[in-house]
Amino acid sequence: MTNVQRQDLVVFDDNSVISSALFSKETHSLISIASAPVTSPFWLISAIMEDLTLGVSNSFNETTESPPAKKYLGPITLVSFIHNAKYFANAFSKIKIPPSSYKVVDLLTDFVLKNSGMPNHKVLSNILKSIPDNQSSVIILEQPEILLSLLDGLTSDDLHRKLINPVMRRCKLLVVTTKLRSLIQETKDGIEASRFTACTYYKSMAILSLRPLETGRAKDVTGCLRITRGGSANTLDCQVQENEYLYFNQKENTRLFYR
Amino acid sequence: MMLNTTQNATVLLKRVLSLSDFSPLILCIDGIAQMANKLIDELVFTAQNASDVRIVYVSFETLNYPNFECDFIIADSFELEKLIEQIKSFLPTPQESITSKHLVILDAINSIPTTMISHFIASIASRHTSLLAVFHSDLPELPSPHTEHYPSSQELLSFMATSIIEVHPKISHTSTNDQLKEQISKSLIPRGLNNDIFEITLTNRRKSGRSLVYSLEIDAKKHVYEPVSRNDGDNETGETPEMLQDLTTFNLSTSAKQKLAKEQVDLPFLEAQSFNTGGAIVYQFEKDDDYDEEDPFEDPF
Repeated sequence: MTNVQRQDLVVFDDNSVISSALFSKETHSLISIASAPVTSPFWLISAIMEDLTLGVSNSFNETTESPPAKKYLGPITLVSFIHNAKYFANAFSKIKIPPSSYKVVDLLTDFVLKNSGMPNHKVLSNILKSIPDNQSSVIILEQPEILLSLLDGLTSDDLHRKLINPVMRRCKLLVVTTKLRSLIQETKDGIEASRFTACTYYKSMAILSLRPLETGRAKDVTGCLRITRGGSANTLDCQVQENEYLYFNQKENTRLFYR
Repeated sequence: MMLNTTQNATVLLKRVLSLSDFSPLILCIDGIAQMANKLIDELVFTAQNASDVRIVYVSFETLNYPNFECDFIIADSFELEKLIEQIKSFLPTPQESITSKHLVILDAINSIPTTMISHFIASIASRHTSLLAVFHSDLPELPSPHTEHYPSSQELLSFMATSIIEVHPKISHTSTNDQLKEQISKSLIPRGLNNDIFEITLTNRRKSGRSLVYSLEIDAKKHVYEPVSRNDGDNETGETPEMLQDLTTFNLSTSAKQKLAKEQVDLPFLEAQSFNTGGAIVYQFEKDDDYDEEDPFEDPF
């Protein structure tokens, strides 16, 4: 694999990770990142953050000699159920993303303690209150499906109606990461989580799915990234560039190869 | 149901898409592999070209205004009863006499609970309004103990709909339907789906109750419809004389002369269908016949 040519990460047909066309019209878009339990999508979040704040994903893209002009100047909010603010600060400082360019809403620390005994609608409205409302912003929401297990009686449809749709309304671009579950475990939570992911696909403009190698472990490949069109009607001036890459996570960066 | 793949298919599809025949409920069954968006665009294009149609778009999934003119309602802002009222505010009352048609598009009827679907549709449908409801067939559903003996949403909608359009992707020769379903069930979406060219299965129910099923291919960019002829399994496995050759030392094949002679033989059941009086019992009374009129079981005829 060492002799194979390294590739740039491209999601849209204007050779970008996040196309500037997403911010040109009065629209609300959603991008889904779905990953298997053994693959972490954090390197993709870092790539999106780099692209939005620095104008280029330095971790992958070698072809750009001088960084282009920043295409996005609006606020970025990271809302996470699995990482706290310190984790993001450490990770992003390594790739030189200025701390002033993003805000973290930490829904991991003491979430259960803070919301214990509260009715579901109150918990969801409290979460919504903590997310800034800015029509031109980008929101990255990490693993909201955890709420299906945390809140008793919450359904996938409720979660979409009371959280995902209102959050979509508060921003220009929403990126949602979800963990894929196996349908073999046909528990209530398992079915609701699968329905949640499927509903997210229907609303998405692009779906980025990460999975490990089918053949098992390899020394020079971590997994496979597939980029496909989602179910949402595209009224923008950019199209999703469908692609499949093999990726290899190293200490400082990630390498991509066409599959 | 009968399967028909003649030229009538395109004519019928055009009639359904242009809303020429009044259809209270058109059900569109789609999946993530091929969404109904392109079919909706095609229907709106055809209907608006054919006549004056006012459209109400009820969105459960998108916040973005569609690329055709319509009254746009974001459904999650309302409770169900309020949503019905909101939709009705854009529609004429059944008593009104109007010339224009009204079409209500629901982009994901899955969001409405199964037990409320019939109430929802009955509240909106009227003699001036057609409903186009999109149902996503691949959303996992948690069985409810309260509706154990109640039909599923898809069964209920299929029962109520006058036209059912199932949307399928046009699958390349290298992959099969099963491979596609397997990947989607694992939440992995294959590449090359949701294209402008796709296939549909149109089920049209006539007033007589007879259903006609057609398979068609639609090119949404060029607005072209083509009937799809499917190879039946029988055709693929049908025996030909060539297949029987060199199998044994016996002669199993038939010559052209033998085939012709075989076809010319009238089989006995064909004669029996000619219904002449040859087999009827004709009885005529004679003067010595003993016939008791009071005996209810005696009937010489």
